[in-house]
Amino acid sequence: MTIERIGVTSDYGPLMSRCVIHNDTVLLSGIVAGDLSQSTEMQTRDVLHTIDGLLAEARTNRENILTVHIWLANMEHFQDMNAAWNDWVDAAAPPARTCVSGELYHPDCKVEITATGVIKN
Amino acid sequence: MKIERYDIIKGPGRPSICLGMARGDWFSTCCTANNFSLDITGQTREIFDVFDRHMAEAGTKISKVLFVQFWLKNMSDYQAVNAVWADWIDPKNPPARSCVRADMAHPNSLIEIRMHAAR
Repeated sequence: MTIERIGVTSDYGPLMSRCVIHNDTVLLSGIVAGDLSQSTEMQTRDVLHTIDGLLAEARTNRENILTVHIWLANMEHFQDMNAAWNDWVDAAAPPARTCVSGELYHPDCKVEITATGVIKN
Repeated sequence: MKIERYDIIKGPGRPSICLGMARGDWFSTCCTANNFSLDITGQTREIFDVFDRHMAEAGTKISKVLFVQFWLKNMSDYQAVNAVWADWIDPKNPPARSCVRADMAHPNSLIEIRMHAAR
């Protein structure tokens, strides 16, 4: 059994790992955008770009994502988020996904995304 | 592989659930506080105490916690929860985490937490 922790940070307040690898399973923290002044669509693009980077550090990629959970501050922006999502996702290998609304850690934060994936041997 | 259950809950007015489950080297547990008269710090500590007990029973420990999901009734409690988090985690092995606001099942319940750990 192995555990590897990537992106250890307290930039967002609490100490956390942005990515934890357990054997061949990858778990991502709730990822938020760097620039919270942006729209839901742009924050989603930022978050997905960050997720790409974390997956690369974990030696995997978006094709190997299993599940994605999206928290939207405002469900009225569902289609804006989906526009960014559809541009990003591998349409031949889309993850299982849920999306609900919830107030996020900062009042300007419009989207937070957690994901799990695998590392292919 | 055998599935192990921790703290099976049942009874009138309560859902029939178990709080924790383990299989192989995977362990997961989720609960609210038991004593809803406690403040946010007390409720958070009480949940982490349950997690510590489950981890001991399941044969794992704080350094193997992988991911923690927080649901807070009031996002204004964020800093208070983070203070308890800082006391609880192994700083050499910080878990991945996410924290959002959500309504709770009981009016005085302030926080619910799920945790995944390896063992």
